[in-house]
Amino acid sequence: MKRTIKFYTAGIAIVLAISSCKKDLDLYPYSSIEVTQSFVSLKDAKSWDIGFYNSFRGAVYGTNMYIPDVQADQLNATLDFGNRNGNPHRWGTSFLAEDGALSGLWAASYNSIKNLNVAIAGFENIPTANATEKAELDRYKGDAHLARAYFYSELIKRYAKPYNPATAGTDAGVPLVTSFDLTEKPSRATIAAVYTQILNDIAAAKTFLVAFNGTPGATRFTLQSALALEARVKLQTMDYTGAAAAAESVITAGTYPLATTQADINAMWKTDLVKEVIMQCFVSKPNELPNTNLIYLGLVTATGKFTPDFVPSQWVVDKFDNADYRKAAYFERKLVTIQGTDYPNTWLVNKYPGNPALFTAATTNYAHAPKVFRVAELYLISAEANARAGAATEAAGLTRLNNLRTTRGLPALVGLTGTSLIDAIKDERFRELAFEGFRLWDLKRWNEGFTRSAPQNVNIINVGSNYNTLSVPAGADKFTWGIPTRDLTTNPNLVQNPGW
Amino acid sequence: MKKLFLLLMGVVFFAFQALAQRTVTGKVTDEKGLPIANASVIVKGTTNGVVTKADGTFSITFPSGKTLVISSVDMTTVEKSIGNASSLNISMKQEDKSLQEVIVVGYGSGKKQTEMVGSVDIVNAKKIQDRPSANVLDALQGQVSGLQIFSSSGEPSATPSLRLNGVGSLTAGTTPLFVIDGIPLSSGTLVSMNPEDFESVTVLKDASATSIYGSRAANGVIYLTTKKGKANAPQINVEGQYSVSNLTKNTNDFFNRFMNTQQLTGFWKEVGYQTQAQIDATLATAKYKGVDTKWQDIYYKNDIPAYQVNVNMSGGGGKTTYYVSGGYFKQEGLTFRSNFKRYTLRSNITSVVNNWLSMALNLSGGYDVRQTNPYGSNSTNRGLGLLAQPFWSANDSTGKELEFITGWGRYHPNYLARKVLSTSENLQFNPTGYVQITPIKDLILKTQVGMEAYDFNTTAVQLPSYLGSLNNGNASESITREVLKTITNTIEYKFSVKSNHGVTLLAGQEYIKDKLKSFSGSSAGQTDDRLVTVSSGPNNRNSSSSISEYAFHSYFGRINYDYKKKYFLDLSLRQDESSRFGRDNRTANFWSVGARWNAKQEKFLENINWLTDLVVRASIGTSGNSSIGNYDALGLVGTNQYDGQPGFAFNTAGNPDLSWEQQKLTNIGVNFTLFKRANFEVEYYNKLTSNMLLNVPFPYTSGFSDVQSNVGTLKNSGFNVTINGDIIRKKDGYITPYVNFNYNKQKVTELFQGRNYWIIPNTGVCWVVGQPVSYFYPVFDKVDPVTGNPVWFQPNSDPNLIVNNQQDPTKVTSTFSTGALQQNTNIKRYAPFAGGFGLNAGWKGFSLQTDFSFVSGKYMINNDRYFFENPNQFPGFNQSTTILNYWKKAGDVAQFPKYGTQFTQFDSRLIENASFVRMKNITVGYNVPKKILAKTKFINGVRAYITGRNLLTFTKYSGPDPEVDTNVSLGANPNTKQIAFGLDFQL
Repeated sequence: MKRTIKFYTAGIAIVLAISSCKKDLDLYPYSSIEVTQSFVSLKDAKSWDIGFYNSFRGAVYGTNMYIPDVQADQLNATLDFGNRNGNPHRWGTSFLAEDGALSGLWAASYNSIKNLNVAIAGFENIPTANATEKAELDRYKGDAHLARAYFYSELIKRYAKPYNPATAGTDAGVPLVTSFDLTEKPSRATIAAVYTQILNDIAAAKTFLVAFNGTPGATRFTLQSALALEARVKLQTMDYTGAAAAAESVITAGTYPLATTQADINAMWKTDLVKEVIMQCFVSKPNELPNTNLIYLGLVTATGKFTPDFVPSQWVVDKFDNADYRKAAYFERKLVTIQGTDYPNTWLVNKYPGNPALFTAATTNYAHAPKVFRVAELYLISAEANARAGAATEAAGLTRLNNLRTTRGLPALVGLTGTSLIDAIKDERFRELAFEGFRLWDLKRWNEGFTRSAPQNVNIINVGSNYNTLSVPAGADKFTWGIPTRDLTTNPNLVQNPGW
Repeated sequence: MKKLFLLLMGVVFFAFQALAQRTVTGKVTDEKGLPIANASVIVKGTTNGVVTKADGTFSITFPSGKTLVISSVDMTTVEKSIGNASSLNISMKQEDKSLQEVIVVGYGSGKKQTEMVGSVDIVNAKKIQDRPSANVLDALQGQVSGLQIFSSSGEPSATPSLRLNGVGSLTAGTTPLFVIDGIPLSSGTLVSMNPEDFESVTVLKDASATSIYGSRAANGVIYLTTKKGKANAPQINVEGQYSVSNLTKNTNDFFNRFMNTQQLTGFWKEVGYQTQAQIDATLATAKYKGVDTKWQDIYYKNDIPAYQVNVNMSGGGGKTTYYVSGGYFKQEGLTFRSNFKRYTLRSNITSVVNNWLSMALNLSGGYDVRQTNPYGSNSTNRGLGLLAQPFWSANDSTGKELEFITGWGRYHPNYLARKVLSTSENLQFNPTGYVQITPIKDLILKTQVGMEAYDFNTTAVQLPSYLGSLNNGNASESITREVLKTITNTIEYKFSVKSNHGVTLLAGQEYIKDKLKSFSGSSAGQTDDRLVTVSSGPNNRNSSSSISEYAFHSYFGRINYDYKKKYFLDLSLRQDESSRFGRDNRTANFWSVGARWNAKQEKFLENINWLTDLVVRASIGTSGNSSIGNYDALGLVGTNQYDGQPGFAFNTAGNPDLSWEQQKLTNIGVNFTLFKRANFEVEYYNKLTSNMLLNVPFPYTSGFSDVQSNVGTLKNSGFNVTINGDIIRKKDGYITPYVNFNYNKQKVTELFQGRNYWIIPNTGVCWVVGQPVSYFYPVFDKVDPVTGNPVWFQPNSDPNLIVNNQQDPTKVTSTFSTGALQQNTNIKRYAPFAGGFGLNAGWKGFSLQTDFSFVSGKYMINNDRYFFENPNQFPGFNQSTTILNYWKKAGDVAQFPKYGTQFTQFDSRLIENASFVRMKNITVGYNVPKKILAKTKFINGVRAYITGRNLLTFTKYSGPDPEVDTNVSLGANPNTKQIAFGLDFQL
């Protein structure tokens, strides 16, 4: 009897011992929270806002910037390029819809858009106690809308045909996802619908950010960032009046004076002088380093020589007058070693040498603050938009062109109108924005083809009709990037672009 | 836990019983009538026992009991009923070891092999010992039918990959559950343990054996048992081994296919890549004097020694046994910065404390230091180092090794190894112990606790003198601690009804909790090679940490029934809950039913002399797979940083419905022995996986690329066959060959989103409904002899039908596109046929043991060839001589197309047959005769042996190593071969 009691006791103890373990099955991660718990307070909204900027920094510079440049006409692949970025460079059958260059940017953009969509919806549930808090929340909303507009503007520029007012209402754009739904299989919205969404987001951003006027080198979005993006987008949609107006409203405010000396222009690219920068990403070492444009130099630290993947063609260097401050800022002659042989005095793109303040080792890591919007681009947008808007505004366009030229050490141009004015503006865009990822999309927008030519030295580059003599006709299919194969497979509602 | 402990104390305390005493005396002898000393005599059902004296006599006093159990080393245990006798004479017989070993698998007190219902294969210590490899798994290769083991790397610290009876899951884990002395363990830990400490490795293959492990058992269970001492049989073993490693022949064949300077520059000139003047200029720069560098001699070393020393002592007295061992193992890899050094200690103690309580404590500790070569895959610092042009030299004109190889433009691998360091240390602690009490006869309460714990610490330093960042070094220190705790409580009761019906009931509860914690810190700016800690670096100070946990909680039960030890029936049940799954989907139930028929015991077979034994087994049951991330069920927001502030990002979509992957396994097997010589085991299995844990792909536009979900079904079925026997079995000699193999047929039976196939991007691998996992690649036709263009077959124009291989000579193209040309190659991703064979032979003191492992139908994408046979993609680099066979003029039938087109694309040409037969082991040993040793009065045994590992490999695969277990092989660190010499002393 006594024993029986003990066994009952034992049995009860076992049950207790077991049940005490049970709660341990509810385990949560230590470095993440459930998404359902992430829109509780204004502090959460701030964290989401910070998160946008983090992914934004990841979406600019690096491959996002240089792949289109590699695809365009200004660069030659050296014999030591090891086929890095070789596919877009060779076009044709090398550059296919399954290419990582296509899926990388696509996936990263929609990944960011997902965060923005979740946050834009979630912000509506965040209570604010007073006007100060409401203003703070408004800023985060503005940031979210502007970031979303930015991502869609980059997607539509790449993965859809150039904007054509006559057909934009039916031309296939990109899938327009504005709310989070894991199971959604969106079809491609029209180009017009995508631009409408972009402009709506910019308009919303301008409202929310109205009180946030920028200063040079801002690392957050400001009203001027919204205007800069608006100008860029409206130039794409051929809304020349709108583009010029947006650009002018920033230029005329005078907050961002153009750099006027060789020293300042050098400093902009080497030590992140912020003078004419409307927005750049915050960077610091070692945790907040940007994507880098490291294909142009390839410093071999052991020897101090350079083994770049890509070198500029001679005609590209020659396009810069010796008096042009940008020539010395963007290029430098270096001792290059290719396939073990030294080639002194080879021109290299030196626009991204790395800011020494960000070096994490003895030599460069090619890091500097990614410049998202520079006022120089707005001068060029204003110039081009005014020049294209009609004869009445051509003079205003020429003025803006000359404003830029004279600060760069070049003489003002006089009496240009019509095509010659447009050509001069195109040349200036070529120079000013070289290697900033604009060239390919400008050619696409202008409906121009190209033929690569005049390399510096055929002994150091890959030669052939898919390399240094590649010829691409205007409107060639692959000016418009292919929809990544994986999304075509997983989403039956998507239709591929021609030629892919 | 605390409550449980108190409970046990309580049970222990009150289990005492006081009854009248009686005494029996007797004598224990062997078959020849000689006395057996130190035999244990125990009253059955109690722990009350004594040990016989030198003359074999004993005297035992006990309160109650009807039977004495007498056991002794190497003797068959005898049960003698006492009746009213006060004196007993007991005769013992030599034990037939293979049949009598008790197998402990799946909780409870274990069973004899002749009574096992489940399908299990045992590899014993003999097969494991004396191998020149750090990992016990290496010795299992080719030993167990259905268990495929591949070593994918020549790193001495590598852990092989394993799969049992086919690949049972498409994206969740496929590694079997490892259990060591009853406690789960991760396969990666085995490299930190001394193979010499293992008594046996038991592979559990059917549901009857595995279902009791529930949600972790779907990939099979591998149960490791460590050695125990034997009472009154003290033994001291001292073993030493020295071995030398080299590259295997097929690796060298691969390296020797590269071009020399003459061939390479000749090719350049021939195709117009460079003019003679350009070549001359380059050769002048290279100071090339006709001596070609064989870069494999730079990137790999040869004749690298390894050592191991093991000492163990075992024995026991009275009711306590011990096994204590220490081991030292040191091996270098053939690549630079690759080595492994290990110290191990183990102490296994078991004790029968009194007549109702026994306990055991196994302590295993290890410390190892390891470095692994980091320059694999597409690194030109080794993996693709053979791209180096042969005219450059790794030495300067005086023969001194260069730090930076001019021309090639890379550091010397030895220089990198000296300047860029990364050393990991692992401190391993695996204690297990149990307390077992027998409050009443045949009722066993057991509480077992165990832990797998390690601290893994990596110190990485880039010395300030490294030319890549002169006077600006960096250092990082990271530490990971993982502790896996297991507590198991079981209650087992054995009884028989009318002596014909044997029943064992088992019930239990188990809780498993794992916590993985890591921390790392780094800094830069070190300026002095002597001062390279993290704290010596003033810049870029950074730190990070993480914690991850999971838990399982389970109840289980089992009924074993037998009728006259002839018919056996097992039923088992398990209920598991895991933290890894959605809140509402945490609980799952698993079951199994198994039966065994010892047919030879039937009257009608008794007199068939040629049939020595016949056993039929069958089982059916379920188990689960939970090898996924710890938090996959949760939609999670992670953190990032901007402007020094923490930010949010929605990183994991989560899936609240996430649950177990289910498996239903059916096995039918027959074992039979013919003429007392040849044993056959044939088994059929059918494994159905459902609710598969799969990373289901979503369009990127959703913001996520894939989400872990329970979808789809998969079927694996096949045969396991094991044959072994004695060709010669004489007093002086024996020859015992064996062969085993598995044929597995895999079939994906259902996917997700209604698809009939899914191509996994960038892998060449596809899941196709109705087919095994297969390679999907563009299918190469030929090089057009007229145009010199490469030609590929066009797949079926209907994308839904590209699952049907189409090789229509009228539908071809010379325009390459992976997306447009990929189709089913009908080549299976996983090898369907694998096994091993070998033999043991002996003559007098000599022994020969050889083990081959083979796999057939193994295919792999040889990605190396994309780099080494692609002069257009990789111009200027060295290439394989095979490229010289390219199309030059109309009419040429060539391997490669005309120059100017891409020689090699990712197409069916790269999918190579990587089937192989490898001699894993050949050992010739000699035991010094006891007669000679007797004179020493101190050495009981000496064995000298020579062992070879991987000495022979037969394969058609053209890459460095066919054994690499992957779909795409690139820059593999190949398996190496060893020749070892060893001496084992028994004192």
